[in-house]
Amino acid sequence: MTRQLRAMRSSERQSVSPSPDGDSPTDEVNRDSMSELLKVPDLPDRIRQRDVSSATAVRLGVISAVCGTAILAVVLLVMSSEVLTAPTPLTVTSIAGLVGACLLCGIFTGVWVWAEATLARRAGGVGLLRFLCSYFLGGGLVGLLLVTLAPRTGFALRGPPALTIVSIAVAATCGAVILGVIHDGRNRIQRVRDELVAQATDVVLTGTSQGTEVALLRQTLNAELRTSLQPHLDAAAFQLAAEATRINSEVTASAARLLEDLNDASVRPLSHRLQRRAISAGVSVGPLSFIRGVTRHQPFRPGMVTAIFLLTSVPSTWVNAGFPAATVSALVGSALIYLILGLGNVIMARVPQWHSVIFIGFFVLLQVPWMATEAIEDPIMSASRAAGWGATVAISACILWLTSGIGEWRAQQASLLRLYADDIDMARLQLQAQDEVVRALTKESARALHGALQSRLAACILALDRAAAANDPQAHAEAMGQARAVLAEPWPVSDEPTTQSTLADGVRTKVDLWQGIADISCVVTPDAVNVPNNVAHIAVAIIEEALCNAIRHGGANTIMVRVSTAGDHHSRELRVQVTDDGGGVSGPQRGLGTAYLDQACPGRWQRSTHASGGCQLDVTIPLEPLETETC
Amino acid sequence: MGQILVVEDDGFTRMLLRSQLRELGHEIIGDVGTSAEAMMLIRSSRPTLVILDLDLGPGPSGVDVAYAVRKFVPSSGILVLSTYVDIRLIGDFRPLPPGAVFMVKRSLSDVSTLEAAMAAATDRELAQEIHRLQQTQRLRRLRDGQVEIMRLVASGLSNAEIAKARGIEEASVAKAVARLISQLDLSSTHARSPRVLITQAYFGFVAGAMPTRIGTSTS
Repeated sequence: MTRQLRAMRSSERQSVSPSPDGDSPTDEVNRDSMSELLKVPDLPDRIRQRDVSSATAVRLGVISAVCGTAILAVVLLVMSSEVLTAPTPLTVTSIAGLVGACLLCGIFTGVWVWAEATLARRAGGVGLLRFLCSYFLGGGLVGLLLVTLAPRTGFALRGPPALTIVSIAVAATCGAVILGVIHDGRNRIQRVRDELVAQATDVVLTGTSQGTEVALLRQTLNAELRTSLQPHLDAAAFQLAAEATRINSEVTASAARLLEDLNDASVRPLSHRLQRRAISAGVSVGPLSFIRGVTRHQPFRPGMVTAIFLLTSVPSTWVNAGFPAATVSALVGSALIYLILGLGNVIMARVPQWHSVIFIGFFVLLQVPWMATEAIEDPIMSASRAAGWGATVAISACILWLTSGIGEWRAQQASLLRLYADDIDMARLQLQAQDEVVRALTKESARALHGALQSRLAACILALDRAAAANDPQAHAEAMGQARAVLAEPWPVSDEPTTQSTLADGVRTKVDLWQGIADISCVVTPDAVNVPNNVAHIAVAIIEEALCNAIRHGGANTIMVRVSTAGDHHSRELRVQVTDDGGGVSGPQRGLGTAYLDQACPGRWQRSTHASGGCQLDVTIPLEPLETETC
Repeated sequence: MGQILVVEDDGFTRMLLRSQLRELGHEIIGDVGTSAEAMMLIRSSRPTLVILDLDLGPGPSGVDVAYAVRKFVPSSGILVLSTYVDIRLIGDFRPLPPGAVFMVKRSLSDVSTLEAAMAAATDRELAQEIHRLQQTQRLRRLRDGQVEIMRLVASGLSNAEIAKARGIEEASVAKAVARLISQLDLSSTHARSPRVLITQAYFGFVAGAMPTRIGTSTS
């Protein structure tokens, strides 16, 4: 990576076109390939690595345990206030038992959140292990403790223990999920967002320091050449300053846009961006897609809800209405749960702000033990009681589908954060590309000022001196005219042909440049002369790259360049072949040259090493059919 | 001295160099502006000394030509001229071929320096001695990586970006920056950012001198 980067930089410097506008297609190609090379692949990884640490897991667990206990205790005490107005030994025991159960549920909540966080950190996501640990082990633990406590609590004695345990387990489960997941998710999103904001700030700072660089260079140039070349310096400085200002303002504007997007206090902007950019890739709406989405993304949560449903509702239906009815209700209920969970995902993805609904649902769910107690006190299965049961199940399902929606929502937000990271990467790449352009521009202007311009002016001064010495007004006028011409056009005319009339001319120019460093022979077949200008440009650029590589890296003495066309009128292609006698390449070695070919070559390319040493590059560029071509 | 070939793309400098060498009584077998012409002359007439500009415009650079001279006419001495005190400053990290002598263009005006450099370029042992002496200069003492970090700092990159570009830890970049400060004898007691000091030093080296202040007169 580093080597490529450095090679890229040096090549950028050497291959840059001397024309100061820097907008020729070669530059575009170079910039593209550079962006490709400069791409920073590890940012999403870093975002993933920023998952909870073990200390955070413990902290989350403790917070969740305290919060869970407090909420449960408050709600249960409020629910039992009627009983407390007329206390009997039995109700006091019952309340004491409830408070004990609250404490246990709180501890369970804490342990579960800790386990979730830890396992998520280790396994990097939802898995069977996580589910088993967090739900069945935790739930089993609470159940066992409650059963142990049951004989001593009036509350538990008044209803079937299994029902109570299941109800409390459901409540505790939901509490844990809500507190832990929301807290954890918020924290993580906040951290990642802060990091992204810091990066965006960094981008702004870099943009500013680029302006400083240009300013410094300008000062250096000014100081050195002020006396003799003031007008041209001003022109160059203007050009540099204009370019720097333009680049700076572009960079600042794009970074400001990023900052604006990121720098809102809540997570809501994220969710809005989510709606615009990530939703289309997320869950699509459709009756079956709900179920598909849930099964694919959260295979365990619907199973959990279904299990609760089957445990709580189906046995009573079986007892009261018989086996067929129980089977039908189990099937319909399970299908309904999957559908509801899918719908939950969609709703959470579209309106993630609704997580407050979950809190409300949580309090509603805490009515479950009370409802159960009431139902047990009246053992006859009345219509109102059946409705109560239905409501309980519906509420449990509701809570859990909202909860499962959070998982989906978080997954989508993670992908959204990756999108942001990509944005910032892209901005930085653009910045680096602009940096290269500024560098090339300043170097070109310095060279022009130092070299060509200086000599042209010196020639004018000599001519003026001669005219003055000879006292020849006409020669003097001519010299003045020359000097004015130089001043009017301070940038020397580019040595490199900007428009190549034919492919052959372009190839010939490049070969002539490198001729002598190695013996280069060049054949352009007559049929290859009339190829379109854009193809010719690419072919010439590829040939120069190949020549440069063969000489610098291969140490070649003899190089053969052959350009020809092949195929019939319907599928023509341009073939470029560069053969050298250098050291060749061992194996599939890749570097700047190959990256350049990947970027620049619109066709295929192949590099082979001869057994006798030397290297051969074959490039094939498809041409448009002859009929559509201008002749 | 023998036969000398001058390769310099800038016509003015070429003319100056030629007239100066003539005045010193040397035999010039040619003065050319492109590498292709240079290589043709070198391979046909095998000059004793090739005076070579590092920057020859588009196409091969002076380093490419120097290597080609070493390859085709190993007996020729090579004197490489550059406006930069160290070519690594512009990101070219290829060393010159053995026996080639490097000289900053600014020193051309000093006749004795030019004569000494030409003598060294035709004498391998002397060339090595000169090379060894040049390596003890303050900038040459810096390793390639340090020069590159200097250039990147001057380009306005943050430590994190330099770390990413060079594939090293961010802490190492901070350390390298601190080491650069001490090795370049840049005192950071003026309550100025070390990055600004390094940037100034870089542009100072690029411009050929080491200014103590750039841009402070305006404040």
